[in-house]
Amino acid sequence: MPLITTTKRYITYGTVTWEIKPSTYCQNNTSASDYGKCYNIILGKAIFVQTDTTTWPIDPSTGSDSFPCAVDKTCTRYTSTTYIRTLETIFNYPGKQAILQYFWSRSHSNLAIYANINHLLGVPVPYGDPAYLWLFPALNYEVSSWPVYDPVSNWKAYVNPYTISVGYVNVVRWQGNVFMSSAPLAVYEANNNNIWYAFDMTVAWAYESSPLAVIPLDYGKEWLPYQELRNAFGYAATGVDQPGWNADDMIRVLRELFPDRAWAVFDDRQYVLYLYNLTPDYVPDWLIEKLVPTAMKVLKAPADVAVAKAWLDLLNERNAQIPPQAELP
Amino acid sequence: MSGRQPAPEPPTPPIQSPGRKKVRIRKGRKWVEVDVDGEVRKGRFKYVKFVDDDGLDTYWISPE
Repeated sequence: MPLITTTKRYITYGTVTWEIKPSTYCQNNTSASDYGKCYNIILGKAIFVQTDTTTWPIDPSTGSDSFPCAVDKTCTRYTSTTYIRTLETIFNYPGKQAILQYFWSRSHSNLAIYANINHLLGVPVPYGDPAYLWLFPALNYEVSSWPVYDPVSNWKAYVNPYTISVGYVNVVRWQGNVFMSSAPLAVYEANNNNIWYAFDMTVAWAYESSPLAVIPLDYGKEWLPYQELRNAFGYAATGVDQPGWNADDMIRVLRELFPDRAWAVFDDRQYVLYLYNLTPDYVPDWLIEKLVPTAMKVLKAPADVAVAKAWLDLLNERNAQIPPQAELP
Repeated sequence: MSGRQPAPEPPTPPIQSPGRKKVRIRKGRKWVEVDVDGEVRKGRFKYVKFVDDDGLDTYWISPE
């Protein structure tokens, strides 16, 4: 299976990234003179949940927030509590699979750990899908005896490996292989108010390459090749992605099955659209807009322009909602 | 001890024909200069035509 591996370091959140120092913390002791301040963040902002908008109002006309760390732009303040706060989507591949391979997370928070990684307070981790069930076998898994190393799930975790002025430090690391088509970045907050957390993390995952065979299958009622192709490329939820193939294999199969037809194969690793019995003249603009290929390569120029035109007509017919745009020579 | 074959000589860069336009394109992480045989516009994009190292007629997206 062709796979593409990706790594995200310091997960981006909106337009900023996070990076903290070993000394990063916020003050959530309401008696402290510096209540609501956050310190020592290299990049990005801490997150502070404080619902009291009477004491620290937000100007409805300007959006200006009077909470101390919001004023000095060292935190993002949330004025409502939530059970699980989803900060962003790390990856999401509808119709294809990804494999979560690794993550490392370091977080500082006023909250101690009281449950496993799915229920960590203030520790942002990839959350969702059944992945956590595999990673962490029990709700309160080894919480009382951290740091722990689980050789089966290959999970390492430390609480308070070093000290900060206020709060706790959690470091977790996991390495393995779990199939999941999407992974949100979420934090278990358990409806707590007056909490803060700041973190950085790395996530690595791989996802399937999905080359496309651009070929109207019922051309000339060739039902047998249609069936062969369907069997060969397999079923895809989207109807267009063929997971598990690479473009070279697909080209080889199409050359054998349809040597006299026009077809195209899109390699989504190289972003190359291969054309067989076609030239770019016959490729409709809407397909270019959809795929945005870096290059088009002509495997075989059309021996008979009628074959190329039939491909274009059938393709446009299948996409009747998009007006045909190609100018034929 | 098995003798190592000397590395094959890199292919000679194509000689530019008189009057052919040269365009720099980005292939992977490298910028390379190619002799183009023509241009084609598809939607919002412009592609330049040349014969690539694999011998195929190739249309590469061109920086406008």
